Amino acid sequence: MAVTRYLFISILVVSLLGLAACAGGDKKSDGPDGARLYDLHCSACHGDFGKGGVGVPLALKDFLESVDDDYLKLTIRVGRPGRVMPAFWYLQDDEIQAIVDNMRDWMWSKKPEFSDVPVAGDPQRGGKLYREFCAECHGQDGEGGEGTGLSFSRPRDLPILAPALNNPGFLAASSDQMMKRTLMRGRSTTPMGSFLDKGLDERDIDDIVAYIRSYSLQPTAEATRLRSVSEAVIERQSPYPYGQTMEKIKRAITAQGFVVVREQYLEQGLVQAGDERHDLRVIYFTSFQSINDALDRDSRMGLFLPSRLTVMEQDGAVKVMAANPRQLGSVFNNTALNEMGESLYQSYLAIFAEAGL
Amino acid sequence: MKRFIAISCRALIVLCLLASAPLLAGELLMVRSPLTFPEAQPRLEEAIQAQGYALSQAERVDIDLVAIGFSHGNYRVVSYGRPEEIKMLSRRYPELMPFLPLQVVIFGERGSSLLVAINPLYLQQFFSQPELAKVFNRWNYDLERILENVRDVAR
Repeated sequence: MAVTRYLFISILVVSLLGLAACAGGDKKSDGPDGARLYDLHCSACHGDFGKGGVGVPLALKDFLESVDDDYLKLTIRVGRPGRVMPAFWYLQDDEIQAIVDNMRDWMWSKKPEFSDVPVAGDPQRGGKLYREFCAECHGQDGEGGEGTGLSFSRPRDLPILAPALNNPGFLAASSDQMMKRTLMRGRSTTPMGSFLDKGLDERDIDDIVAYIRSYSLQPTAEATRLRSVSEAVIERQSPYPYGQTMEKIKRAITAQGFVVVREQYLEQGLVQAGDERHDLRVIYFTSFQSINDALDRDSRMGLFLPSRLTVMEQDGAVKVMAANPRQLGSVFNNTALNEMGESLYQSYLAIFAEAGL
Repeated sequence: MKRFIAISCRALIVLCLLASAPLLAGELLMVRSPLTFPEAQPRLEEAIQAQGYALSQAERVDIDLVAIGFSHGNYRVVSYGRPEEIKMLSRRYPELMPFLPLQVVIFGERGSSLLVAINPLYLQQFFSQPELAKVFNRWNYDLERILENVRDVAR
């Protein structure tokens, strides 16, 4: 009997201690849910559990052991301007920390810490070494390899491509010591090998780091410069009646080398057939090669394609309107779309001119 | 001193980047659903309707492209809206019409599906009328629920 009572009390004490540990012992349970935040903000690109996708795979032991929390947090905070990875500036500090903690929980890895002591090197000499040893992958001016971070539609069987070292987001997030460590040891599972193995010594590596850091002092690279627009919509008032405007627009679209895909009421499908506003219509048009090129460059372009012009009459005035395609690069944080957006914008202007608007 | 300059330099870049960020929110809302494309598309359409919207259409983007060798079969642009709201907005804010009906792009990728939409709050920087701020906030709230509905689903 005494033994049973002793056993019962022991089990009770152990259970209570266990409950107490669960309730108070795990600090993460009090804060934001990193796994959920990762799913919400990151997994669309970086894949479930960091397996990779549009964005680089993150669940790589060597990667997690090469970058400190500051690098990850600042990368999330400021993104990579112009290279698809957006800035999550609106997340709270504890939310970003929770995402980073969640990444660290994917696998056991040593979390590195780097001092913020700058590397003293000769950037001029580093520049020569950079062009000899780094430029082939990272680009002549540190603009990075084509692919990762530029094309949302890149083939997923590509290896991790060399990141843009001149990107302000990279420069903000990376400490000198972190870059130095990467150069000295390389990154396994990526083409980035140890530069010590390539015959460089520590002084050489310091000089390369100093050169890369000098990108901070140069004007922002074209590859990271997104076009900002002040007007979300471009529009023209038509001097013609509604029906005539529609015909002139369609003829102008064809004359500019595009194909009218269809014409429909804006309210089509939303209200009973026959109840749609007849003076509020959308003309969809495209060139089939351009729509394919656009989707190849960024699969999300379907939000803007086929191109469309909205024609509406209100209070006797006929207006032709379109979402300003110049905002494509900034909406998708993808400078690869700047040129396409500008080209589309010029096409819209040409169509307006051709139609006499 | 060098250390101070180096830290200041990085801090300055961070400040510049944050200062150039959009005023209100990210430009896009994007989620990954564990569902395959054929499963995810009807789920999206149900979620849109459950949030009180009418579906306008789910359009392919590869019409006439297949014949010349391109195919984006697992890809749809799903358009939706509230008829009364569109009527009201077309009267009061015709300049908003190029962004209507609202749209979600959905496409299959490696056994799962990606859903992307313009964050309605993005439009706030261009259309600053207080009445529209309420509309954009409501659209944003609804869109987040719609996307969650497709994302948070057990297979």
